[in-house]
Amino acid sequence: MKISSKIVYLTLIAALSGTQLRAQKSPNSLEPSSISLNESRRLWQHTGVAAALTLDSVLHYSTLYLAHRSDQGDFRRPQQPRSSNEQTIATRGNLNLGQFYLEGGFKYKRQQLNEVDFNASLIDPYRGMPFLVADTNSSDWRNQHYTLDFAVTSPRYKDRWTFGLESQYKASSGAKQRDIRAENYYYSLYLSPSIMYHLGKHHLGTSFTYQDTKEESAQSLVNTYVNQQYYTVMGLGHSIAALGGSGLYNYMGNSTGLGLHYEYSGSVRVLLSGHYKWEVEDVNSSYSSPMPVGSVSRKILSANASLFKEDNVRLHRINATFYQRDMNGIEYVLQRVNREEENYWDILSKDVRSTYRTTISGLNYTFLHKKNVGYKWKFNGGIQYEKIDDRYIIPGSNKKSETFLYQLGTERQILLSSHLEQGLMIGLQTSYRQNISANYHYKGNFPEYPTVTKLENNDLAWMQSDALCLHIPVRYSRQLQENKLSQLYIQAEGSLMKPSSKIFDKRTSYQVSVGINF
Amino acid sequence: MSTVKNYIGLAMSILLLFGSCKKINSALDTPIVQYYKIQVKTTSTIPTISNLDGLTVKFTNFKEGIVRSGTIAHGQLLMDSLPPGLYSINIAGLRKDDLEDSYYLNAGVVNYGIVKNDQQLNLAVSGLKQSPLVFSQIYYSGSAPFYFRDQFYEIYNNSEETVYLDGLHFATLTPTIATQVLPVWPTEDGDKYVYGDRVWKIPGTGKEYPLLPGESIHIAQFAANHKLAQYNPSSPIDCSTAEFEFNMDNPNFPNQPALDMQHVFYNGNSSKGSVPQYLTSVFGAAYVIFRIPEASNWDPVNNINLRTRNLGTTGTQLFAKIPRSYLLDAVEAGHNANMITAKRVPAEVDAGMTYVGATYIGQAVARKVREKKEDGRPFYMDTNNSTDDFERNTAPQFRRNGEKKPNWSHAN
Repeated sequence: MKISSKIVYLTLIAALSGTQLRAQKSPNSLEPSSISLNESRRLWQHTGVAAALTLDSVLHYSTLYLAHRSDQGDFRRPQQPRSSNEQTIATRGNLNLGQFYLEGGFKYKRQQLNEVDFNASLIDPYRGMPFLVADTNSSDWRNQHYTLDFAVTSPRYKDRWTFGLESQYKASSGAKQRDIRAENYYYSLYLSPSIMYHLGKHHLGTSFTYQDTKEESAQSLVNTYVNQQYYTVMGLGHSIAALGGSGLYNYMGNSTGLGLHYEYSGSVRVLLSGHYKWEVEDVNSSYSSPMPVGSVSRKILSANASLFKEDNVRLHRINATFYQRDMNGIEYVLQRVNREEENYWDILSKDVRSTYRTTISGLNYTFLHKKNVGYKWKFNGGIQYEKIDDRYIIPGSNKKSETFLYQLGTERQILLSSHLEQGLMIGLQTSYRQNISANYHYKGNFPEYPTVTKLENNDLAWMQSDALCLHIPVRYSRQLQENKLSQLYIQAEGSLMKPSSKIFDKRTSYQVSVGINF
Repeated sequence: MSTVKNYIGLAMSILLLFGSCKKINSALDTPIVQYYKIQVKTTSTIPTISNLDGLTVKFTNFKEGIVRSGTIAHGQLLMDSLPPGLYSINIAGLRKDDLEDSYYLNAGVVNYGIVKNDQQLNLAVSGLKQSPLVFSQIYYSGSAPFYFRDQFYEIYNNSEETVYLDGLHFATLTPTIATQVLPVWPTEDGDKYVYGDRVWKIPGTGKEYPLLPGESIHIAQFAANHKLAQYNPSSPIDCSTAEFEFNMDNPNFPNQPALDMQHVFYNGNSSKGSVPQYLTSVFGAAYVIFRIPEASNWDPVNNINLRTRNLGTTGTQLFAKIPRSYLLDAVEAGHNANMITAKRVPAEVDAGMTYVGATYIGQAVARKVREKKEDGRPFYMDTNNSTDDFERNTAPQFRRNGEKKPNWSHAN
């Protein structure tokens, strides 16, 4: 937190000492479709390249919303909840501060997750950490998440250079509600300084990323008379059985990365962006005498190409994305050293025992038919291919899958009344998940463990399922006051996911949100 | 311009941070796992047995459930295709010496790290002392919901001779619950002792309690019928016929007809202390029976050289030093097979560990019957490896294999 405070301080000092003034782009409406149109223009958003944010034509506004979401249904991965609800409050805004462009946001989310299986040590068991504590009691989790982020872009220096810094601070807490109880605290700090060089219509830049993460999980029993069966999962169902329920897991991760980025901004905007990241996360048990449980190393390549064209009537945007994560699971051979003067775990050896590769490629097209304010129609379509190739090396277990996801959607903006700019949005998003192949082979010596028979096999069943998803959003919006920009909106969304598998029935969700743009 | 310098300085600092991240480099350089091979060389400590060829060497990696075995040839064994890990390596087998006497040969190491290729391990194979008395059944897990007073221990005469139980000592070793954080004992003790938490003995003047071949006795924590309503109707056992009990003078659980075990040692004293019951861990403890040789005077209460504290902590509790040479039988029980890495008992007296896998489940461990004698009495397996010698998760039952009661038992 100290580092984050210093960077905010430096940024503000730098901002106040700027000497050039950048023109602010004021909106003529904050009607939600105008905001959505604005987002469609932002090619550099979420790239981690703050130095390039001002290459996008950005509306200056702030937003605040509250949302309630509920999910339920048996079509889920084993460590996902059978039902859940969450409440979110979030705000975002941007402005020019002196000659510097600054944007930032804050989000708080509270989650109630019901009937989560095989997880007693991670707030998010699907975040790419195979080493975890899995118990056999379905349990509720209560989680809270805080996210604070900002990005700052410098003015151009010598008409050629811009500098930027993006940062995000996340803090989460989680509590498992049934023995084995887990009380978790997670935080991560992400920093991404970046530099762009501008030469006419050509913009070339680089970014560096650093991330520090930590998750502490303290497990305990409320009913100390009943010792619980649990498993230390090493990956792909391989696990070590244990009895009890008290312990402490400490996950500590570091990540560094390097990105290269290019934009051509002619009548058509072309963005090419690539980023390579190295991550390591160690898992230790206990603070007083740390025992290495395992480590993971990750190499993550992500690339993005965008093509953008806009005229007075139409907006076209094509995004092609590629993501590949290669992860190694490192296990230790340990021997306890008990001596009068010292007690510690001696690492006799460490080896990569498992490898995990996830590859995701996607192509998306968005078309907006614009109107005076916002847009009238939106059409979008996309296709995504995901390949998973996970292996436990000795013994040779593996889990593989190939899946396509097809998406097609439309939105219609209807002006209900020009009085207070009252509008209605109705949309339909459809997607179809098609599994090409999925299989799991366990070659270890404990095929009867529930980490194999239930955790992995149920996950395989989920992977093997094709599924049709329908999502319908409806939004009503209006000005808060006549002739004022501020807009109020209320949005309701409903989803139905229907798998082809006979094992699963369905999953449904709804979300209601209310927000203001100002 | 100073602003530019600030930003460049910040970027350079972060770049330096990247360059110095040894943690990331170390993880990225970690080698891919591979199989290793190991050479085990053996020598015999029995002068009349020199040839060990044909004996089986067993490699067990409890964490990963790997069990491999091979046969000694030319005094050695080359075992390959073992993934890295901690192994229990044991040699066991029957062999006649040059004088046609039978020996049960045994050697072993526990928690031996196989972490590189072409490791070499030397094992000295010795003849095993066959104990006349063995634990034939141990019920320690307690019963649902949280009842622990029905624990009992069955001791059996597995020999062909009458054994007098008078003065037979019973102890649980420390740590009382299996843990990998093992105590630190005085260096000068070497490998001479195991360390008792609490020690009891069977009373008697020398020949009051004979145990004939094929007879067994039961020592109960509390020798009552635990199925009664005032105790725990879901208990699987009636201990009222136990010959002995560990009476801790608790008025709520009064003295029963069973004979009281005589308390010997706890925390440097012969008194029982204030604990209301003698509860051994429901996860499983390490149990020993031993006898003091006639010419010896083993008195850890009055002889400060026969007791010690755990030097690995600042705790002041004293533990009794029990010479390994006194041991008749030792059984180590733990949470489950993986707790073998937390062994308290040396491999020479129990190379394995038994378990029931849960607490308060009303299940016991029972020694396997090697054969039935002509008169119907069981002859129990005793290879000094509790993993192999015991059946796990059995229903507790007195004299389950047709053992006989001694004629002096009050239950007759």
